[in-house]
This record gives sequence, C-alpha cells and structure tokens, in this order.
Amino acid sequence: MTGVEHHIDETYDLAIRPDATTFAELLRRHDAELRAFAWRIVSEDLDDVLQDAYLKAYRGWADFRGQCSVGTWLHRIVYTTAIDHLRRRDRRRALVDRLQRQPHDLVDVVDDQRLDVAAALAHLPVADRAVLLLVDAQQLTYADAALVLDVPAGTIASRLNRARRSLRRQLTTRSTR
Amino acid sequence: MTLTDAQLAAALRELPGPPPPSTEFWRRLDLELADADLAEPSIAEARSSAVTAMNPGARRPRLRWSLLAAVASLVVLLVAAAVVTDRDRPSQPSGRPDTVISDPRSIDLDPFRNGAPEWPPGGTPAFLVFDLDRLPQGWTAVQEGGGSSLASDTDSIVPAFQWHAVLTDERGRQLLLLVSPLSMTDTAAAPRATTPGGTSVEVRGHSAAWTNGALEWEERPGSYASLTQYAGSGTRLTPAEILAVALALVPEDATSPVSMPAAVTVPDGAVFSGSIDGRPWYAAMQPGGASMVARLGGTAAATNGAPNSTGGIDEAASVVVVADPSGVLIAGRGPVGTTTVQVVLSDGTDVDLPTATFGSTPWFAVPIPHGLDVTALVALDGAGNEIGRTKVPAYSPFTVGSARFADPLGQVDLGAAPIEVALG
Repeated sequence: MTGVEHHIDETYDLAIRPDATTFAELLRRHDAELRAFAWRIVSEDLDDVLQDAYLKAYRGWADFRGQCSVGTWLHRIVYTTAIDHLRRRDRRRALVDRLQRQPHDLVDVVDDQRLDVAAALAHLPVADRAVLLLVDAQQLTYADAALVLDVPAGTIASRLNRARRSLRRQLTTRSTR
Repeated sequence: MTLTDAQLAAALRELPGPPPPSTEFWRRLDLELADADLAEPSIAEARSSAVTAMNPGARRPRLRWSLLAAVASLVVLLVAAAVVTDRDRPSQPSGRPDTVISDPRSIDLDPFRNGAPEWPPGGTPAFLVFDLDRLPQGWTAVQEGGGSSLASDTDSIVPAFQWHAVLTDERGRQLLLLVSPLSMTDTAAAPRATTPGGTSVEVRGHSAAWTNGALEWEERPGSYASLTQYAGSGTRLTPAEILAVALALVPEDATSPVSMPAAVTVPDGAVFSGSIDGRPWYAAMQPGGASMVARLGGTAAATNGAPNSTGGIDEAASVVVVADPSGVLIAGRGPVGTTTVQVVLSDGTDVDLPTATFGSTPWFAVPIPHGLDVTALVALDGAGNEIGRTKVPAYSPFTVGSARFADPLGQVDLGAAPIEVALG
C-alpha cells in the first residue's frame, strides 16, 4: 500500500473524532504496516510502543488536519513514539552499562541473505533505517516519508542515498567476514 | 555482495515481518481507547501540526516554560524600563541594581541571595532506596552509590534521583540493584507482567516485567527498581532466584542521604574561580583549549567542544552543570561572539559575568549558590546585543551532566556519571 492509496481509500470528517471502536478499526487496517515499520526501529517492546503510539493518535486526532494521509500521520506518530522509547531505553541502558562497566553484546548471527539484510539494517542509525523502511520497504512517496520523519522532502533523497550506501557497506563487510 | 537500488529495495520488502498482534494486544488497546474516551482532553488542545508530536502530556511543560519565559522576559523589560542601568557600578546587594563582575577569578554571587526564594523548593525530597542491612539470606551489599541527575528528555525537565547497590551471594554471583526514574519498559501502556515462561509475576503488589534478563518493577510511582545480573559474575541466576531476591528486598525512604563533598583547591591556571556559599569552585581549560573542566565540591565534569563524527560541533556537551548542596556551577561555551554572560535573577536584577575566549570560542562559568533564584542566562555580544539565552531550572543537589546553551539547562544528560555520594 502506498501513500497515494491511503489518500484514495480513506476520507474522514476531521471535525468529528471517531469513537473508540471506529478508531480501533482504523488502527487494525494500518497495523501490519505500522508494526513492520516499528519492529525494525525498536525490535523489543513492540506491542508497548504501538499501544502507546495508537493511544497518542487517538488522543491527538484533533491535531490531524488532513494534510497527509491517515497512514502517513500514523507512521509519524509511531516513529516519534519509537524514537522516544529508544531514548528512554538507551539512557537506562547507558546507566546500567556504566554501572556494569561493559557494553552490550551485539547480536551478530546471520544465516542467509534475508537475515543478513536484517542484521545489516539493524546496524544503521535509526534515521537511515527509517528512510529505507519507509521508501524502499513500504514504498511511501518521498513527500510522505518527509512528513513521517519531519524533514524537508529534499532531505529524503540524500538520506536515502546515504542509507543505501551504508547498508551496502554493511552487507559487504558482513559477507567478507 | 553489491546490490542495485532496486535489489536492495526488494530485499528490504522481503524482510520477515514481526509476529502478528495477539488477541490480548487488541483487547488491551480497546480498553485503553475506551478509557481515553472517558478521559477525553479538550478538543481545543493545541492543533500545532498535522503530524508532529502528538503527546498531549508533553505539551504542558513546554507551555509552562513558554509562560515562564514570557513572564521572565516581561519582568526583565519592566525592570529595564524602570531602572537606569549602570553596568560599571560595583556590587550593591541591598539595592539590587544591575551589576558587573569583571574579575574572572573572583566570581561570587552569594551576596545576591538576599530575599531570593529558597532553593531547592521544598528541600531535598525523600527518595527510594532498599535496606541493605536486611537483604535475603546469603546476600550482602558490596557497593552502594547514588546521585541526582536530570533526565535528558526533550519533553520534560525532571530532577531524577538514582541509586544503586551491587549485591553478591556466597557463590560470588552479583546482582545490580538499581532505582531509577527511567524504566526499561516505560510506555503509557500497562507494564507487562509475565515471566519468560508467561506466568504473571508481581513484586510487593507491583507488576513486574522481564527485559533483557533483568527484572523490573515500579516500586513507587515514578521509581523503577530493577535487578540485573552482572555478566561474568559466576553462574547465571535463574529468574526464580532473581525474583526471590526482589521479593525479599525491604524498601525504605532516604531523606538525608548526602555528606558534603570535600572542598576543591583552586589551581593557579584556573580561568574562572570564586566561591559558592563560601566554598571554592573553579573552571580550567584542558590542554588544547577544546574543553573545560568545572569543579565544585570535589566533583568534576568537562565540556567538549571537539568536532563530532558528522563534522559539526558537539553542542549537546557544550555546557556542564555540577551541583552539590552548596549550589550549582554552570560552565562551558557560549555562542560565538559572546563577551558577557548575564545572569538574570527572579527579582529582575542582572549580573554581568566575564567570558574568556580561546581561539574564537567564548567560555564562561556561572556559580549559583543555594538560595539564589536564577531564571536565565543571557549571552551578550560586545555591543550588548542578546545573542543567546537559556533558562535555568532548580537543580537537585548532586547533579552532574552536560547540556547546551541554547536550550534549558535542565536537559542534562543522564548518561553523564552521577556524583557518587555517601549514603546514610
């Protein structure tokens, strides 16, 4: 499903906030994409992040003014929620690491090319990972991806190039080990 | 392996997805949405952006800070209009005129505390620790520490106490017992309450969760306790053994935990120095002039002006904040062109402090004694124009961390080492 299809499929009267049941239905329609996106960002605590994001979306319906598709808007909320979650988790981990005086082990086991791509992707910075997931995996337009990541549309192209280069570098490094 | 863009995109689309959501996920969400329906916030809440941050709770601090900033600005403007400023006038605390301190080796704001609101408001709050004299049989504490820091959360400025102890058993296995305001599983959703085997577990009536082998529970509202085994500290403990330790812990409040750190000795080469509440402090440049060490009460931190990996300057660490019960020392780099750092007090008084420039970088240090209510620091250029401003929150004693000038200095990175203090 692309960003364009979102616009065609879903039209809402923005003046009326959907009730809980209607909104849950809306979320169910988008959950698979949002879940796949968030999973590659946070990995752990996926359900908690999504619950948090979905609640924010519901409470923040008044903030949605239809300037993008509902799907893009939801992606944006999931992304910011995931980033907040990572920040909290990383601060906590940094604290535990400092107290334990040792870094976390990195999972570094790959069996086939799909896992290789997944592992390489996991080593990219979150912003690079996100642009690859949005544009390449979920096929959002540059404009929609820019809305999700809250960057100028022009930045998406350059960030995408950078992310692809980084991913290739990761894959090359891993394949030569 | 070299993939084309199209091949790369195809590989990304073929990545295995996450497990589908469980029935429990939707049941829980339905309940949360229904609850949200009942507690519906005003529809008139800010409609600032279609797709930007949607966290209603996060807006309140921003609004509050905006309001404070507006009020502070208004006060400054009113005072500025009413008072003829004489920047060369010597210090006259009783009259509270604007003042200039020009000697960087004698910066002391203690005289300005007259009439200022007490700080920290309400005194040092109680915080959660565990009684290390009443550990489960076979366990002893080999290390204890704690301190305050401020969470580096862009949405809130929260004084945060953290405490930890290292526990060891007779077989040399060690557990890190940590109390922190930060949760490993911190979300708006209810905490997960399952063991690795899927069995619900509680610690003293609080839902507990296992995350990365650590057991975590919210012992008090906002205080998360966790037990994590030290890697390499002998045979791994089973979840049941860790849970047994958690259940046997005895929580208690600590209200007067700290002893005053030893006073520092000011070196000859210090760039800035003075006293805070009668105790010496200083800030000195590191070799190379790229960073500064600030010391107060035996504590230390350093700013880092070095280029970061992306070719920029690491602004997030351009300022350090060090606090102990005598007060707070804020030191670091100001915006380029800064010649004066103006300390704005809540009564409208401004105190101008000198800067020291190394290369093109202006450095400053501001000592804030306990009881002095500083609302903002303002960077002024040589013509007296404001080129930067930052708010100053009330710090808990035993804070240390890095920040940057342009933002409220409350956003101190919790990753910075807290001051280790003697508890008791």
